[in-house]
Amino acid sequence: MNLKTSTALSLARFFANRKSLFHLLKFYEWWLKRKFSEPTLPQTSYQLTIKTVRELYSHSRPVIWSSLFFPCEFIHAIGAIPFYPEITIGLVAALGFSNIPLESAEKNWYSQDLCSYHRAGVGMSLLKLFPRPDCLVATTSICRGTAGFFRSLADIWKIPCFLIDVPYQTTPEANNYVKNQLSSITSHISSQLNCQFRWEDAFSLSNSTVKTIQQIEALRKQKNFAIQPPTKNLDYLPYYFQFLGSPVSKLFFEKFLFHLQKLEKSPTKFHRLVWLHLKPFYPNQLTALLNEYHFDVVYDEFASVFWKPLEPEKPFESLTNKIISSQNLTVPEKRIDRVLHWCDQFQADGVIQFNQWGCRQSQGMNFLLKNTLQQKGYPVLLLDGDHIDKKFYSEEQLRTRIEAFHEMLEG
Amino acid sequence: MNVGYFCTYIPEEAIQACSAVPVFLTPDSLTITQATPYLPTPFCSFAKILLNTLLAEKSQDLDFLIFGGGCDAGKKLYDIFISLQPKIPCHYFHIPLINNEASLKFYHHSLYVLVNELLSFQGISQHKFNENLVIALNKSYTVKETQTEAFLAGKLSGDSLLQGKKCLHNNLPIENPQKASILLLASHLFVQDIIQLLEEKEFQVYDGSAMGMRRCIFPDIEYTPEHHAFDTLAQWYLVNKVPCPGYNPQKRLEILQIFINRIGLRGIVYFYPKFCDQSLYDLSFLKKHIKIPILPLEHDISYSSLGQWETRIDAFREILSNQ
Repeated sequence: MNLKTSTALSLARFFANRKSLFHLLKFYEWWLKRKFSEPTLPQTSYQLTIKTVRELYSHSRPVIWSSLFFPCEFIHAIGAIPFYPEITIGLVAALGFSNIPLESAEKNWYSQDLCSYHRAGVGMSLLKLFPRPDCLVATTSICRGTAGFFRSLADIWKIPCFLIDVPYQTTPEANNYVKNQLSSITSHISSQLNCQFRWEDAFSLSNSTVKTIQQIEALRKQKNFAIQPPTKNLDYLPYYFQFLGSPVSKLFFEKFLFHLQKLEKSPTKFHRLVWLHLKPFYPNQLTALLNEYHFDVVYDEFASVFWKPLEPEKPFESLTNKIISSQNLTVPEKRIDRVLHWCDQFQADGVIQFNQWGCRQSQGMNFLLKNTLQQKGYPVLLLDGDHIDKKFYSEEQLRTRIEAFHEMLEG
Repeated sequence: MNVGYFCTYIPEEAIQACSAVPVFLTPDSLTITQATPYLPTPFCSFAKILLNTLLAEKSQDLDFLIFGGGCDAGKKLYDIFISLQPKIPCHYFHIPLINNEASLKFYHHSLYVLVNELLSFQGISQHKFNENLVIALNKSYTVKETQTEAFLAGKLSGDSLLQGKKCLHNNLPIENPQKASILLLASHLFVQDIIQLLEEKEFQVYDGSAMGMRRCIFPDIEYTPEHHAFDTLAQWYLVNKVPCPGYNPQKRLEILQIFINRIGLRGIVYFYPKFCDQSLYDLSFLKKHIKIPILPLEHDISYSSLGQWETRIDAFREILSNQ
């Protein structure tokens, strides 16, 4: 690490740990609101980001870190601020800084072969650049690496980690097992933070936001419609996860729907794709290549609604259902069925998955996924690389693979 | 009936009580040719070798397979195998990642489901199973207790656990004070070879691998015949057994530290498979918390790095002798 980076890091760490400084952002937020009284979608997103940064770093309420598939309605229900390190790492990568936490983690014996979302999250914690958590909540429903990641975070921050162990097979006993863990975690957190859970608002906001998301999905089913640029929807992940169950997410998706309804229809010559897993978040040529070869992304796996509406009178049953349903993304027969359904519903011509180097659960089913989808007549392109660590990125290889896939679809 | 299983958290006593022969699955060779089309490059070496072994030949001798664990590689190995070999009955056994009353209860339930499946397959009665289980538990308890006592006292070094030496006090390896005592932490692969290599390099080795300590050593094991047999097994395997990487890291650390202090171990050789997330997190955790030198040695599915391992082991020996 050179002197310039080291000085910048020291300054960043100094500011990240000065709560009072972040209160000053309120003035900036006030100015933004005045300047853009009717903000566009990007302006709305920017304003919400600034507000979240202020709340997290000024620690105005307890901060709870969560793994991606732990339902955030749980955190909103206790009035805490959710922080999803796996999502925020995407932002760090988009800003071009992910190499710094990755290096820090590697120096502390976190291997390059571990998932880079997790490695970079560990690095940001070791550098004390992320907002300090009060406690951690995580579930193993999607990947087992989450347990290692969150236990490492607990060890670094010296705080408790509440882990929900989710069995691979869905049975009534597995449901009960998850529900009991959830109930026990609720009691622990309630007494630790000295707060009560109020499920009504969080669940109602989540359910109504999901209805707006479904309206957006209905638009995307139209043959001549697609969100531009391709894969852009994955930049909105915080609203699908972190803010779901809060007014922030509801406001964002209402704006998004309004924005999409006004869009002009795109030409129909584009190939329609279902996008699996996530995408590289560091600056790269993927979007440009998809545009160049006339690909539209009509549905994204990680932006899918996989759970039933939440019922405030049955909070643990509802959240258990949401946690267990997230296995739809990892159990092959459930995942493949859903992908086939999307291909049909969204009139897709093919499927692309951008593999994540350290993700065993998704790569482990590549054979089953590709085999089954191809048998059903949907071509599949599996792109190799990493979403956060640019070391594994090769533009030439990406171009060759996308070009070949385009030729195949054209053929 | 031969029942193959590959995770050290699966109680062989339950399989024996079903009048079946438990076969702890270990790969015979390092070939992965048949598994290569089904699993990606950055994936657990053990899973690849095991899939190859099962597809190639070994499954022909097995009547039933139990896939255990909680790691992603284990789950995908199960998914792929059942899609390729639907004829062999398979069972996935979930190992809880947490240690509390709920996880013990769930383990108890999982055991119940597994045993019922085995019993219906075998066609033996519940009564007969209960009788067999009492005998299996009595025998197993004695073996586990004496073996654990001897190992923790430093009396079972080298490949004693691999060879199944059940505390043969008269034939124990003689301690050599000139040799540096080290603990080998490893998975299922290359264990015998790496022990031999370390012994050739004048180390007194204690086997902390999945084939040795993690499978055979149960500190503080207790047995009360009046308790429900499945509760006893849940207690033994989830609470008493030396945890594998990724399961209860704090308890694993405590046991390792007690063992290090009791034996006066001078170092740890951590021989881990590439792409094993559990081992990778465990390594970073132990590196931070254990105060004796740790030599990490990564392996893939070959002996191609043997020369490099030897050089690094020699350098490690020098570090230990200079301390």
